[in-house]
Amino acid sequence: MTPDLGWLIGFTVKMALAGTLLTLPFGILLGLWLARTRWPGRSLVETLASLPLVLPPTVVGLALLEIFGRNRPLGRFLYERFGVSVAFTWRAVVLASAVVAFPLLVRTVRAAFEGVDPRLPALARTLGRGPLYVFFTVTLPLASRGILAGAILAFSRALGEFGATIMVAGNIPGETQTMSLAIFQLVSIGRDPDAYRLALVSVAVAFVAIWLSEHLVRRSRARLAELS
Amino acid sequence: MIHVRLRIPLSEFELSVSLDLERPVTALFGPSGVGKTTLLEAMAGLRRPAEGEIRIDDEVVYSSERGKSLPPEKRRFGLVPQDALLFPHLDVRANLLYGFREGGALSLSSVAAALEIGHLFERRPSRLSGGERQRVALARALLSQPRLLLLDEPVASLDVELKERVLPYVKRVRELHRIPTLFVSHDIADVLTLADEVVVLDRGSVVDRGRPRTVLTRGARGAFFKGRFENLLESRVMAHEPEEGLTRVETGRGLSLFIPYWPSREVPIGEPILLGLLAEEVLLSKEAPVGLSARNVFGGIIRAIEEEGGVAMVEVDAGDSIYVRLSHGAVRSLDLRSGLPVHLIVKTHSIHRLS
Repeated sequence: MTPDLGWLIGFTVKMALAGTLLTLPFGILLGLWLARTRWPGRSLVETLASLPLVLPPTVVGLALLEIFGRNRPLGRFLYERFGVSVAFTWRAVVLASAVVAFPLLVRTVRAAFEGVDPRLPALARTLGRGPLYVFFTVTLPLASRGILAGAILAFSRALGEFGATIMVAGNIPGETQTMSLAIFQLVSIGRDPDAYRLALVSVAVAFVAIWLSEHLVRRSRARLAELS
Repeated sequence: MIHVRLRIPLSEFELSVSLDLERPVTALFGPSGVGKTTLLEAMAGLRRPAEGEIRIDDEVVYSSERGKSLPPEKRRFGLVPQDALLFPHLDVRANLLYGFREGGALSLSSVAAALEIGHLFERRPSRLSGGERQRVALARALLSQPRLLLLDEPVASLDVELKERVLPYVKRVRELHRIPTLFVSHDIADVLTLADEVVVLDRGSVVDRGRPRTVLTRGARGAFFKGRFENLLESRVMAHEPEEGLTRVETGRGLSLFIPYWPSREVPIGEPILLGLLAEEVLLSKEAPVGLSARNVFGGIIRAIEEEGGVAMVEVDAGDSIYVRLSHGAVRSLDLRSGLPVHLIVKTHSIHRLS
């Protein structure tokens, strides 16, 4: 009933990675907007974007179920039009990871963009380059290490995601079951030694992720110090 | 021709300028903090003025009345900021090529050779000296084939020797490629060497403009240059005394002075020479001094004393008007006032050559 360990680790990492990739463009755009805008409604948007960080993950999962459930408007539309089910499939695992990781990404990305001297992209434009070119060749590269650190943070959060996932994706071995869900299931059916074994593995995976992230942040700090 | 009319409120005063730039190279001259940099940034499109208009060759680049403001990339005014602002994540070559346009008059190799930066191509900006950064920034702006060059203190961070090599290049750029240039400076020597016209800015307003020699020798600048004011003396070489290490000159108004003898740059007798003398390097005495090593001691009469913030600029009529920078305390303890006869003391080596 329990798939082999290798598959479980692979599946968990793949889901977290996919969730991070899904959340990345949105996180970058919102982070950039928050770093740039002077609009007074900014703090409201910021609070809304931080909600998934504060809410019980189960609430986030319920909300996703409300949106993507098979007999909810968007869920039904996706199923009838494209034959795509989201709820209780791997897609829901990805979606749940993306949503819970989003606030962490936005915060880091925003700080990364705020760290870029606004006169650099401005000067780039006096050299005859349009705003989009300047964004991709000056602003984004200068913020890239901060963005990478944010993405790793988001990935770490997605790795251990439990509450939202179990609500919207269920706990189906071989289909939607990640490591944290498997540990929960093993404990609930009394297979504690297996649960602990899995717990140790997840500690190792988390350790590597956080160490990598810290390492990158340090390098980006050192680089900034060298540049200034 | 470039027309600039701008109004920008700043924290302490308002920048309000209306200029027609007709000469190839115009210098914006004035003490720091009077809005020179702000004006350049507004022209380049980095800062939005409250109102005004900018035209280049009859093309309207900015007009508050018409609600028109071309983005910086459409203006193509090459800006070289004081701190160079090189892209830190790109090496020198990539910085230079960032805005490069094919088909222009300037090529990468020619600009790099002229500015002596060819050997720096692989380096990161963080590994460059101040002077190297400045030259790379100038080259980067030139290679984008701008319609107008805006230079903020372009040679301030170059040492004297390098300055003497780079200045001619900046001049050549304007002669060969006819890129009109507006540059900010508070260095009289740079203005005299580079500019065809000078615009003097004080607290956001144009207070004088014209040919650099005429404007800068007028002397009226002393009143507000509490900083490093330089007296300019149009003189003529009268005699060389190489054994003494001295050259004797006489100003147009008959003031006779000794300056150091420069063997390498000897000016023929009878030829004009422009000299600079910083106001803070002149000593003032009420009694005729005796037994001094200084070779230049001459009399004059105090014309005016202007004081601000503990600093006094004393204008002395000694044939030429010479400004002397003193502390408020010195003015008070010597009881200086207009009409008082005084003696001025100047070491020969305090006088330097500007042309």
